[in-house]
Amino acid sequence: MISNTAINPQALLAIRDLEMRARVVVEGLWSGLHRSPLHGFSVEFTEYREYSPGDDLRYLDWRALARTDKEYIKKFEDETNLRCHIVLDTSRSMLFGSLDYNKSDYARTLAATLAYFLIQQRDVVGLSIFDSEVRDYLPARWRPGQLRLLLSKLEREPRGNETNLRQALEEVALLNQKRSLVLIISDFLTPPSEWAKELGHLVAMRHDVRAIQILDPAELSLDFGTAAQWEDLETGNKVYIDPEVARKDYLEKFAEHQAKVRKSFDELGVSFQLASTETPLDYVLLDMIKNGRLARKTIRANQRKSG
Amino acid sequence: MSFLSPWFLLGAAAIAGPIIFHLIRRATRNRVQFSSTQFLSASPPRLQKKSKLQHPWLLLLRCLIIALLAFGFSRPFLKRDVPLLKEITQEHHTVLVLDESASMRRAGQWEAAKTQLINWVEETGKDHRLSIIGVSDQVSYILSNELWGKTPSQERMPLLRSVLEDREPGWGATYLDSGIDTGLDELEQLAENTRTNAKKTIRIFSDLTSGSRLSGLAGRDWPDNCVVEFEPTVGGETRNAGLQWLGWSKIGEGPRNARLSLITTGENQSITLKAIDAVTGQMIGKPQTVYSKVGDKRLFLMEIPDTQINPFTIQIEGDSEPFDNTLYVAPKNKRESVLPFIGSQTSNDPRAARFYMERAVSGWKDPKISITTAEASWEKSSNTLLLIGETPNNNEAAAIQTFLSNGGTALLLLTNPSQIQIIESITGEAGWQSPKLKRNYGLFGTIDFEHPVFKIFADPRYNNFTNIRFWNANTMLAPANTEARILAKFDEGPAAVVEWKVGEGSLIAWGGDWTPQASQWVLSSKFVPWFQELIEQSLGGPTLPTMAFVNESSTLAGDSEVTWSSLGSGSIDANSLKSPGLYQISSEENSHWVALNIPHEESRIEALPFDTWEKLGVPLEASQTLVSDEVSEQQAAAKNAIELEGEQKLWRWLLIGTALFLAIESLLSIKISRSGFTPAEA
Repeated sequence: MISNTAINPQALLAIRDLEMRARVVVEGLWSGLHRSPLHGFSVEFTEYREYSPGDDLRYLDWRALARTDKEYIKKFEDETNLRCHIVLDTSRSMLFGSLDYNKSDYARTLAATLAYFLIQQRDVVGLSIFDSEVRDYLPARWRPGQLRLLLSKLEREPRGNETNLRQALEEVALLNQKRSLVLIISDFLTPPSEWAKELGHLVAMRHDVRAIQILDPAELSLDFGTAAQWEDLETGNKVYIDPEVARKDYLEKFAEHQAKVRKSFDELGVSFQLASTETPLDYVLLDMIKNGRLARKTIRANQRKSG
Repeated sequence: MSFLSPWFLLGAAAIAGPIIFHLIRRATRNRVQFSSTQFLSASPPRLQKKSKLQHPWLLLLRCLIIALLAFGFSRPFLKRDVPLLKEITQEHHTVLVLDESASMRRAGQWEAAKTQLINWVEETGKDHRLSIIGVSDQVSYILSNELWGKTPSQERMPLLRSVLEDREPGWGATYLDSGIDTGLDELEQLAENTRTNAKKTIRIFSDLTSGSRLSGLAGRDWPDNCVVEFEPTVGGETRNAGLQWLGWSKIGEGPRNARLSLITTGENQSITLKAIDAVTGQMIGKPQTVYSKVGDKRLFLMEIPDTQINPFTIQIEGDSEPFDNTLYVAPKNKRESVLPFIGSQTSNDPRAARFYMERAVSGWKDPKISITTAEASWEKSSNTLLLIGETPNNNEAAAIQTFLSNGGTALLLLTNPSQIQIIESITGEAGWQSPKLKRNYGLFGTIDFEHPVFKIFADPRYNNFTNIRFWNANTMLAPANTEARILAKFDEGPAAVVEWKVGEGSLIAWGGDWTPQASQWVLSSKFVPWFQELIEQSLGGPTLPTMAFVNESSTLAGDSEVTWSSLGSGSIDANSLKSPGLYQISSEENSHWVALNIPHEESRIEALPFDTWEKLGVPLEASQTLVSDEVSEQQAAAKNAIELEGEQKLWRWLLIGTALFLAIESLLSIKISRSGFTPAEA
């Protein structure tokens, strides 16, 4: 079991600076990993190899040569193995929030935290921000200032258009030809039939696709609001709703939708993770790195830090 | 209870509004935003009994607010028995202003004004509270309100006629603004005494010429219910010419000229001017013809020979109105004086005081002063200033004493400390000493700015003497019980300038020499004005002006004691001097001619443009609030109601009540809306 800091998202989102938020989560996570039983599980550790003629002398470890009289070549500690692309939904439905912050704030903080975490591991991270189409695109690259650029794009307030996940996935597939880990952060409130085909296309391109569904607690329980005119944030439709009356029916319909979403992801082999905006961000992050390629990389990075 | 605007009570019908709104259950206006309503089914609205009134307290408040507003707007008042305004408003307070200026001397004007005034009083104003004031350059009461009020109605007209019969117009300017001001004060006083809202009228009987002064009316606050009416005198000539005296002009050795301004009104005119000696009756020089256009003001010079020392007149011939056809001119008196100087100093030695004295008076034209070394029997002249530059011998000291006793003034420069003894021999006051200053120079510490010779420096702009140093100061230390007046003291204490009264005259001693080596005094900017002032005082003070207006006669001589005498007759009382002419003013020292003339504005007899009054904001028409003479019973009752309502102002309390209820209503509404209910909207 991994211990963690479990930072209250309300306190975290009260921090104005997005980078600071990401740092708070990630630093907490590292300290958690230090004390975790995962420590010491070394699998792919390489550090030096003996010099052989033809090797680039820039990588010769001169200190080791001075100490041992043997020529060692420093293996690239910072070579990048993982190419990650975050696809973030900033449509109007993400502006809903029954807490002090909305889903979009939470999702942006999560994206920033992930990016910070991965860049700390010297992975390359890209970003696509979409609503009805991709509004902002930052290709995954290893360069100084990539994190700052990415955070600045995340800090921009969403324009508030309706969701078109199908269009967004199509554009992401076109823009990302290299195999990478594609993290889709959205509320997935549109029917899966609208976007399942394009998601399948991404999977077929051999991208490692993972979906994080961000939902507000009110959307999960409908324990919210009063009898009034309820306005759909996406379409602007107004319906008179008494939540007491409508709750049962809503929960049934919502469970049905969720089942469809889950099924679509399962069929395509896409890893799916549901995150309520109440959930501490480091839990979400830990859940993500517990399996797959991310987990292996994290362990290696942890060893590097402690060693 | 009565209402001033009862039709506003109909507004109370608006109470139906809130009742209906409270009966109707309106659709909620609350909005809730949700991410997606696709999983939500519309809920059926909760039903409520239609007949049930929502929030009855709120409804009651709203109804009350409307009812109070309607009530307040209808201007309610409580009926009370008050005297009908009709009785009050029929009172008239009237001030009649009769122009008595010089221009009213034109043919027929004065009689016309008097007749118009009598006719108006007879026809309209007999029962008014009336006062009549006469105005020229001064305002005088012709008939007071008290006397008019006390006189029985049938005796009023004979009283008015008898009062006006003896009156004559004066020779002064037309200060209509002063007349109206006095009239307004009178009206205010009357209103205060009678405590009524009477109709206030100022009626002006005048020729209303453009030479009248109105500037004092600008920006004046006019009382309510006040109106200014005019009754211009009809008829009379419009062609006129008058002269304004501007002074003498003489360039170098050229001829002496009188500078004159010809003021003409009416048509183009050809005016002939003649200068006539007032004593001999001879014409001076040749007659001069001047052509002037309409509304023209021409400046010209008239040659008067230097030999003309008698007073003379300049007569206008060729215009229609004779009242302003004579300009009286008194020639300037030339004062000349010789100041005797005791001492061996010459006027060319810049190391001696006399050099600087002579330069201080050179170029001074009035009086023309020359300084000469004192010769035999100089002490017999008294009206002069004696300058003592060196220590006088015993003979001279005795002569000085005689001179002073006769009323002369002497200035003694204390060039040597030992000279202090001379003071004793002249003034007879012993015990004066001349101690040395501790510092190597002295400054004036205290100065008596009350004394005539230092008075010219009394203004704070000029009273700084601290930059004048006295190196060779010969101070004077007064004995106890001295009768001398110390005019200036050195900063270390002893006196610097002292004056003694000896007989009729006075001796002024200056503690030090007047050379640049002794002090900075003669080179300072204060020296020349001081020295000239001393000479002026010694000669009996500055001369009086020779040209003045008739109204200035009483103030011309100031505080001096003078006697007035007119040409060809004996002395006359200055206060009774009311007509233009040539007069001789005599004082103890001298006598000179003074010419008194009509103010030149009086020659401008064209009619005053009527819009001038409007521009000055003079109320020319009765305002709406004025009550007409014939007030009907019904109108009087209505006015009465307005008065009562204005006095009680019940609407104010109703408005305050409305505001209070509105505040409670707002609080209640906020509370209800916060508790989740949607209040009905009124």
